[in-house]
Parts: sequence; C-alpha cells; structure tokens
Amino acid sequence: MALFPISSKFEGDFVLKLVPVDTENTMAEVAAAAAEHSVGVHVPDQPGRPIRARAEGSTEAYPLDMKLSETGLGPTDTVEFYFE
Amino acid sequence: MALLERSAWYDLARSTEWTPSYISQDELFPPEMSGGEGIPAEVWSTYDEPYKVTYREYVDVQRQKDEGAYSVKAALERADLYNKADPGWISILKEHYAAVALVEYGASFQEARYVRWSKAPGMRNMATFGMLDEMRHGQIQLYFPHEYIGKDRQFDWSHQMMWSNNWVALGARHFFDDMLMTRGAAETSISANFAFETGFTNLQFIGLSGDAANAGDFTFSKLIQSIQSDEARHAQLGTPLLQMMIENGQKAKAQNLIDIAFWRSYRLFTILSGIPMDYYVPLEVRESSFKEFMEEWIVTQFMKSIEDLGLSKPWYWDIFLRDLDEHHHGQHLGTYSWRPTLWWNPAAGVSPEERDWLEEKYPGWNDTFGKVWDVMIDNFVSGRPEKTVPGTLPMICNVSQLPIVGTPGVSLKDTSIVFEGRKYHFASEVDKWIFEQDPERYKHHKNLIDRFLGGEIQPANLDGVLEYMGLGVISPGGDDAHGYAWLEAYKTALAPAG
Amino acid sequence: MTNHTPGGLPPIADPVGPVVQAGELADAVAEAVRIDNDDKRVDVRSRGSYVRIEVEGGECILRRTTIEEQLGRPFKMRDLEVSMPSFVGRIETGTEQFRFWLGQRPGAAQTDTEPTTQEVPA
Repeated sequence: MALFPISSKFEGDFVLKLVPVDTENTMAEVAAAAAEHSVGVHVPDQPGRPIRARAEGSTEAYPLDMKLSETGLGPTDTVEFYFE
Repeated sequence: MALLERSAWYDLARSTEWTPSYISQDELFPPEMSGGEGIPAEVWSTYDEPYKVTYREYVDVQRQKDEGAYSVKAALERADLYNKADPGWISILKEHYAAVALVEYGASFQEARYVRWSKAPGMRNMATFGMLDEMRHGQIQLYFPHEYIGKDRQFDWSHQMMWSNNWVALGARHFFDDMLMTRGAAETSISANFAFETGFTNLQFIGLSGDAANAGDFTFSKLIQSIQSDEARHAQLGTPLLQMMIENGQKAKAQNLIDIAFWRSYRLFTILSGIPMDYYVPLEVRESSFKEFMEEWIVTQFMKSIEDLGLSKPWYWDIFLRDLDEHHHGQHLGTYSWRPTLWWNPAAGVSPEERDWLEEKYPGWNDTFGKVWDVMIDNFVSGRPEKTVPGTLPMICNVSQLPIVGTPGVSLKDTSIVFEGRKYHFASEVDKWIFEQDPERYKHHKNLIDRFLGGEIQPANLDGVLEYMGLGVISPGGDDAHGYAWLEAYKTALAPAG
Repeated sequence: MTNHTPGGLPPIADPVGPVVQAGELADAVAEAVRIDNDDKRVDVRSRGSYVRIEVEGGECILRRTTIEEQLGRPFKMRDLEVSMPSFVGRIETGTEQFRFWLGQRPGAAQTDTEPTTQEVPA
C-alpha cells in the first residue's frame, strides 16, 4: 500500500491531470479514479462503455485486473485512458 | 541660446571609458556578470547604440509622457470606469497590473546591471535611461490600479502577486529570473531587450491599447502606449550586441539565446495577452484576435528584425505556427476551470455569438475546445456547478510552469525526461529542448506539482493549495466575471421541450 | 489582416517606418513620410489606437522640418518618442531627422556566412 501519483491523459480532455491512486489498485480502479476528474467534468460520459488504460503511446491496454505496482509505471508517469 | 547639434558632442560625452591599472579587466568586469565572453576587448568600445538620447532630452520627453498619462487618468477618474466597463475588461486590468507592475520594477535591476557591468560604454549610458524607464513603469503601474483597491480587493494583487506562490507567479518568476536576472549583461540584453521587448511586449502594450480605447478605457490605452514608447527606445540596447556577437563568430550562440527567449516569451504571453484578447475583451470592441496580433507584431515585424540581422527563424517555427491555434485556448479552459486559483474573475467568452467569432478566427474550435465547453455548459445549465471545477490539479510544465494542455483528441501529450534520477514533465518539445540547453540552470526548481507531492503544501488538498497560492489570503479567488449571465442563452436552448 | 493593404495592393516589400499613436501627430508624420520618401510606396494603416506608417524598400526618412510644415508649429525630433510606441526596422535618431532602415539591403543575397561589417550610418 503506497500512495502513487499518476498523470492522466484522458481521451477528449485538454489537460493532463494529477490523479492520486495506490500501488495496490487494479487498473480498473485506476481508470475509475482518472474518470472521476475527467468524465462529466471535461469529457462527455459514454455510459456502458468501459474505460481502459494504457501507457502513453502504447497500443496495448493494461489488463483491468492488473495491479498498478505490476505495470512498471513510475510516479507521475502519464497513462492514457479511453473508452473501449 | 544656440545649442550644439547633439551629434557634435554626443560620442565624446557618453564614452566614459578608462583602462584599469590597479585591477584586471576581469576584476572590473567579472565574466559571470558582464557576459559576452570571447568578444575582443577593443570591440566593446565600437558598440554604437542606434537610439541616441541625451539626459536633457530624456528628462524633457519623459516629463511629457508622464504629463500625458497622468492627465488622462485625472480627467477620467470621475467617469467611473469601474462600474461602467464590462466586467471582462476589469479582469484584464487585474491580470495586467499584477502580472506586470513589479516585474517592471525588477527590470530596473536588469538595466542597472548593464549600467555597472556592461563592457560597452554606449550601452552603460543608454541603460541608465532604461533603468529609469523601468522604475517609472513599476511606479506608474502601481499607482494607476491603486484607485480601484477600495472597490475590489483583487486589485491588491498588483503589488502582492510577485511575492506570492500563486501558480502564475511561479511561472512569471521562473521566466523573468531566467531571462532578466541570471545571465551576463550581454546575454540578458539579447534575451530581454531584443527578444522580449522588441518582440513580445508590443503585443500587450500596443495591441491591447486598441481594445482598451474601443472599450472606453482611455486611461489604460494611453498608459500602456506611453510605457511602450520607453520600451521602443531601450529595447534597442540588444541590437548592436547581437551584431557584435555575429561579427565575432558567435552567431550560433546568439541564435540559441533568441530561440530560448522567443519560445519562453511566447508561452508567457498566451496567458497575459492570448486569453484576454480572445475571451475577455467584449466581443464588440475586439480589434483583432490574439493570433492576428501575433501575426502582425511577431510573425511579420519581429521576424523581419531577426532576419535583418542575418539570423534565422527559430528551429521550431512550424511548431510555433501550429501552436498559435492551440495553446492559449487550452490555457483559457484551464484558467476558467480552475478559476478559484486566479486573482481575477475570468470571463468565459463562449456565448453562442462569441463561439461563432472563435470558429471564424480559429476554424475547428467548436469541434475540439468547444466540445469541452459543451460538457461544462451542460453542468452549469443542469445545476451541477460543483462539476465545473476539477477536484485535482493539472500537471505542470517544469520550464514554463504552466499546465500541460493540448487540443482535445489532437495534440495533448506529455513530453518528459529523467535527469539525474528526477522526472521532469514539459508542455512541449520546445520546453524540453530549453531544459536540455542548460540542465544545471533549471534542474533544481520545483514546480507546483513537485511542491505538492513533496509535502510542501499543507494541508495536501485543494484548500491547502489555494491558501498556499494566496487565495482567500490576499483576496478571494476568481469566479465568473459576469456572474454566469452568459449561460442564459444556453438555458433557453437546452430547456426541455414542453 | 496583416496582408490587408490599401487599395488591395500586394504586401509592401521590406517595410520600415514608425508606429505612432493615433492623433494629430500621427497624421502629420504620415504626411511627412510621404513627402520625404516621395519616390517610394508608403502604406498608412490605421489600427485603432495606433497607425502603422511603412515605406517600401528598407529605408524611411523622416525630417523635422517636414513635420513642422505639416503641424504648422515648431517640432523637436525627440518629441516623436512621446507618441511612438514602436517602429519597424532599425533606427537612427538625429536632431534634424530620423531614419528607419534595414541592414540586409533589399535584393541582397541572404547567405549563411557571417555578415561582414555593419553599414556605417550616414
């Protein structure tokens, strides 16, 4: 358990946002935390479509049940979030 | 009384120069203070300032300038601009005075350093006038907003801003420390006088003066043109230095200094000029868009000055031209969203008519930045104002100190490096390039996010951040300039049928 | 906008000249520039609170006596500064005339070599 900041680049948003999460969070939980600061704030909701996460520039999404600590991401690394 | 022509005695009178015998040249002009290393000693005395003025002339002309500006102010004081002007215009005044007044006073130290440390006698002489100019700019731009403090506490930032840790202050200090305060006299003159003053200050101090006159604020219009008439003179300090560097085999160094200063100035002016010109100035009085003013003053006029010296456009020219359509729109969305962090009340500037104007000036705006505004407008209209202010902080650039923004779906990206084990984030390739030009210079600075994550800001939440920035301390933070009246058009449009 | 020129002419080549606060002096200076550079194209563009006065070909002469004639009263060259927030090109400031000019002479080949010595102001 450790607080871990990431930089969220949410599809459709105009600004990178600091999102505090936890190393024990799954990527589904990380995506939900990022969504809280973008969806319905600066990005329209797309109900029913899951939000996925991938390393910036990657085409491969992280598995939803992967833990943040297993991704190899460092503090404040930028993660891309998008509606599947 | 018949006076000699100035040209008959000027060169002799201003060339106060001697050869030291008790100390070395390097002790008289320490390289770290004087700069211009590698330029032969005998070359310095050939520095020929293009804009010549004597002390007698200076005092006479400056008196006329002050008389003009102060008499317009006095004549219009009873006109009650504060209550009659559009609130968006008042926000421009708050932003301008706070961002500018103390910086100008700081610039008098920059000029004072030339007076002492420049190795060129002509430059020391001209810089004396430049130093007095900048004192005038500091004083007059503290005095003019003073009449508004009794009406609105946010005007107190005119004096307080540069001493605060507001995010804009962090950006301004980082910029001005880099450009004005921490390089040798010769290098500073190229960054500050040539790139910043002959280039970018025109944008705010002349471009905005037209909008001011149209908005009925003749006091401000007169004031900023008066200030710029000083700048037009002392900004010329840099040109002969550039010439000397180029002629002595230092063209690459000169180009590098300009490339750094140009981008840094441009990004700063997206906040100072870009946002106000395209969003705060009432639609009916806008003279030109920010991009059009940039094309007039920078792309055309300033670039001609650079090329006239035999230098080139900055290497990132194509990036810059694209950025003119993008960056300040993102910064406006950011400043409006995080409006509690401002000391002014931002105008949204996105009523249906204003959006038409934006779409005309920046084709594609509605499909990109406009989409984000649609979400915010929906929140306002549907009674969810709490969703219109983000619950976290933006990521911030380690050079510009501004939020890392981009065109939604097009150009938002992180640009980062790891240097000596620390991760740095940048708002563009050019900001990263600037860092890499001299990491030792930039590596120690902590941006707002570094401070927040490092535990320097307590409590570590948004309230703690606001207090750290001086909001609720110096004055209340920002809220919509027009009390959200602009939403009425959308309420009608979005009202459920029946 | 920046390409807008009077009479729909193409943009002026190698423009130089003063930018003057709108008003009586701006009008007089514009007229004086036309007179003092009568063999060259002169564009005068009103931009609201300021006026751009631009002469083609990289040189603009502005004489004190010509301004005086236009104003109908004595004028000191240094007083132009009061109303001149900017100018295009480089400047040479005398008591009888100002000169705005470009160092890279029009038509001169632009090369990447280090420029030779600066043209000595007249």
